[in-house]
Amino acid sequence: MADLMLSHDILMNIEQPARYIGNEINMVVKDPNKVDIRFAMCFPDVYEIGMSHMGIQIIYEMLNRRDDVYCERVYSPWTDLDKIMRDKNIPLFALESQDPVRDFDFLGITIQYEMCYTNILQVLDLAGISIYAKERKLNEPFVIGGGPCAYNPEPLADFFDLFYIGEGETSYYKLLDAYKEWKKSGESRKRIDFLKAAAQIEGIYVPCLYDVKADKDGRILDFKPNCPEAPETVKKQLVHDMGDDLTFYPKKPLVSLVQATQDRVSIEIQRGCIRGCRFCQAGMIYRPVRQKDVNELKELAVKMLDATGHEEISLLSLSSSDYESLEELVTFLIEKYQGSGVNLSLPSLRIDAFSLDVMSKVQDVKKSSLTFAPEAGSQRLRNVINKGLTKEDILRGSTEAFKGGWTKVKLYFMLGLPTETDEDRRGIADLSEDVAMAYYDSIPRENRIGKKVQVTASSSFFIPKPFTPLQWAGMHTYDEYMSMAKTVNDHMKEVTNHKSIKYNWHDAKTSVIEGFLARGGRDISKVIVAAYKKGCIYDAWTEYFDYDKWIEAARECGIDLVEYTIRERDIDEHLPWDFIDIGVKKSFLLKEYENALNEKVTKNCKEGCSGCGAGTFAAGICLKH
Amino acid sequence: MKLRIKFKKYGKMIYIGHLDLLRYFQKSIRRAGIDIAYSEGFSPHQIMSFAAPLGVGTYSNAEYCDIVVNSATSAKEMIKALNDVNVEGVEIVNITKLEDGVKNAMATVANADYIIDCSERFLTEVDINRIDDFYNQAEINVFKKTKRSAKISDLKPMINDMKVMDIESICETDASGNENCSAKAKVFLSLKTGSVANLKPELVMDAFWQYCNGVKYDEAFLKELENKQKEIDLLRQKGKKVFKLQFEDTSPHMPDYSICVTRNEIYDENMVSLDKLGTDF
Repeated sequence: MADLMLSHDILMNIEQPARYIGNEINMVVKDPNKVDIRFAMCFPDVYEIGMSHMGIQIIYEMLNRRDDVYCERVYSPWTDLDKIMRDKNIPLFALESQDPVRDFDFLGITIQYEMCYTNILQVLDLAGISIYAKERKLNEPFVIGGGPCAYNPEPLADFFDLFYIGEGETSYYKLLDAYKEWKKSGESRKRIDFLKAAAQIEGIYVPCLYDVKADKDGRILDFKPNCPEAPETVKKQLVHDMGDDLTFYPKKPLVSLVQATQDRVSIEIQRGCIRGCRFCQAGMIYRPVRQKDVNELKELAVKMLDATGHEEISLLSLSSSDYESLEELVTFLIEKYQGSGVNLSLPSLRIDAFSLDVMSKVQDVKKSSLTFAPEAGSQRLRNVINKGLTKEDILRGSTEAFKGGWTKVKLYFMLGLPTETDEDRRGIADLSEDVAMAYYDSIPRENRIGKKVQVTASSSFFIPKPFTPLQWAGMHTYDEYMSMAKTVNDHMKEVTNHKSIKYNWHDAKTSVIEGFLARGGRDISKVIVAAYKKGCIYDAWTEYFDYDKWIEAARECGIDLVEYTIRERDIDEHLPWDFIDIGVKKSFLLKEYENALNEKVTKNCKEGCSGCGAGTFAAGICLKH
Repeated sequence: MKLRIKFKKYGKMIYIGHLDLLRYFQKSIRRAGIDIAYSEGFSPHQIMSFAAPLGVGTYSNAEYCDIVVNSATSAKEMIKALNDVNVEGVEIVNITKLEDGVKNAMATVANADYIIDCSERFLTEVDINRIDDFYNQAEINVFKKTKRSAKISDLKPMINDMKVMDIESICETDASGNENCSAKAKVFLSLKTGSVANLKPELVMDAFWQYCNGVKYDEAFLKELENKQKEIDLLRQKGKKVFKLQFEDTSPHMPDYSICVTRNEIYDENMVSLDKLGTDF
């Protein structure tokens, strides 16, 4: 077993020392001296969050299957250890070997949400790796980023040597082979030689091989490759065959020794989504939907539970109700594991007779809640965002649930959507009221004794994301967002059943910063550095997020953060992420934006093909049309 | 069927706290295929209980966990099944069967043995040869501060035994021919442990350190403490919530982490170790 990097004194003086010792169940142990490539895979947030992420588990499994590669993990040190590491010059280390990350060949960072960008700088900083890619020396690791935020990599372009755009299972082996070739080319080799070779692998984006010019509002004036090795467009990677072996899904996933946020077996049942909700980035970037074989999933579930000892299993997908074999899979899991202490955790399913029956078997009806995500308070606005859920669906589902013994309902909404009016906002309260009323209508007084209905409505603020039909939409200022929430809250207090309804709203300040980062270009990377230098870190955590520091950091860089963020993008402007080809065409997104503004609904992929462009991959549901 | 599992905790696993250890065991038992019994109700959990929680940073040669199983093969097979799925740092040492009527581990625990490894730093700040004098005092008073109160506590009744086990001087000759000697010492403690009376070994060693360094809780200190306590009781009587006792303990203590604690065995009130209360199978 590797000796610990941190001394006993340090470990005893920080929160959750087990975050930094490795030694987890199913941890891969290899001799670092016997491999050709050392890969450090990083989730730039605290251990418990990172250990809940399935993506890293898949890459860990995939890379470690190769005998010539050792993939280890590294997470952001918590603030207490961060301080100690800086004071005592302790370099950031990987958990398996406890070796410094700066000695590795690659540092891979998965970028799941914008609010972790300052943590990315923390990771580089603590590792002793140059923050700016162009300053890295020959023997520093190559820093590669992936995940959903890599679909607009531009704000981070200065910090990464490479980005992997798309699903990780396809091109990593080619990348590693190219790296081995480059390493063999001897002492005179240069980093740029490897980067040029990498740029020719499909899905790999090398920022330094492109020159960008933008105006002060962030409009791209020019974006082009500066050498022949770099392609004009980078094509996202997609797994065509969801068969088990090819997708490297871990049968012996890592199990944390401390309680991770998601402390259970997670099975991905399909990738992509048919629905086409216009605000949803995942729905667009993972098109087309590809289902996994239900018998392979049953086998996988059993193997994973056996290898981990977890007592809960959950099904991962963007819209599980649309998985064609859902009933078969869920019935199998319930029958196999009922009474043996394995709990089935179900994602928010469409509320119908099947799901209610299943949920009553696995959840304590009295204690759990049912969730609907109308996202908008009026049918008109729901049509704008192409969210097909109608008031009738919600009331019918709620009534079924109340009759089945449930008393708690959760409703999720967004505020700040394009074309939204105060009437739409008040609609959130009205819909919540209708749901509460449905309880009293469906449950006669004598059966209500001791049981009160509790409707919890919560709203976040809409953030336009790259590669969605709403990517051009404008955003609002903090004060405007809070005033929207107030409109809802005021009306909540006026409705008849207001005592049965609770309303929560997210903090708008985080939304503004998230919006800034989501659609930014390379011109804002200096703001991220400035914010980091001011002490911004763990921005996804309310106790650490500091809005004023971000505003000030931007101002020092000559950028008005709020103006930059709220600006409605011109439909003909060059967007920072236009160089990426996700299959779905920009013209389709534009047509959908027009449909949105005209309140016109688009059918889902099962109902019929809308010709979005993802068909070029010739995979999944597109093959049926 | 009730079984008692005896295990060691060492290496990196000393940094896993009690609740996490519980979850770790639940998963290990499932991975090993042990036919453990589950409780009734909507969120069934494994029928498992531990003897006494072990603090983070402490090693142990004898921890106990009682489980109820529907069926079992043999102790030997079960030990192997569990150790095959254990990570480095947890090792099952023995499994015994408990007859009907044997109290569960937590209710049984009354005493425990500890072995304290004293670091060089600790040894330079105490005189290890004074352990007997320290232990032979009529009273061993320490200042004990909890959330609700602070008082002088006499540890003596909760110490069954205390003695030096080993003193070693390890000498190494370095490259330039100089001899460097470092001292090592082990202290043995037998203390009351469990839900009725519980004494932490760190507190005893800290008291010893204070004894060697002339820290006394004198009359003036006791008086001030009494007054503070009266103040707090008065506030509580008036219905005010007093969360923090505003009493600074400015007396010196042994340096943090200057000792390394290993729990060596756990006993019932008759000094029978917990694994001897079960039978082999």
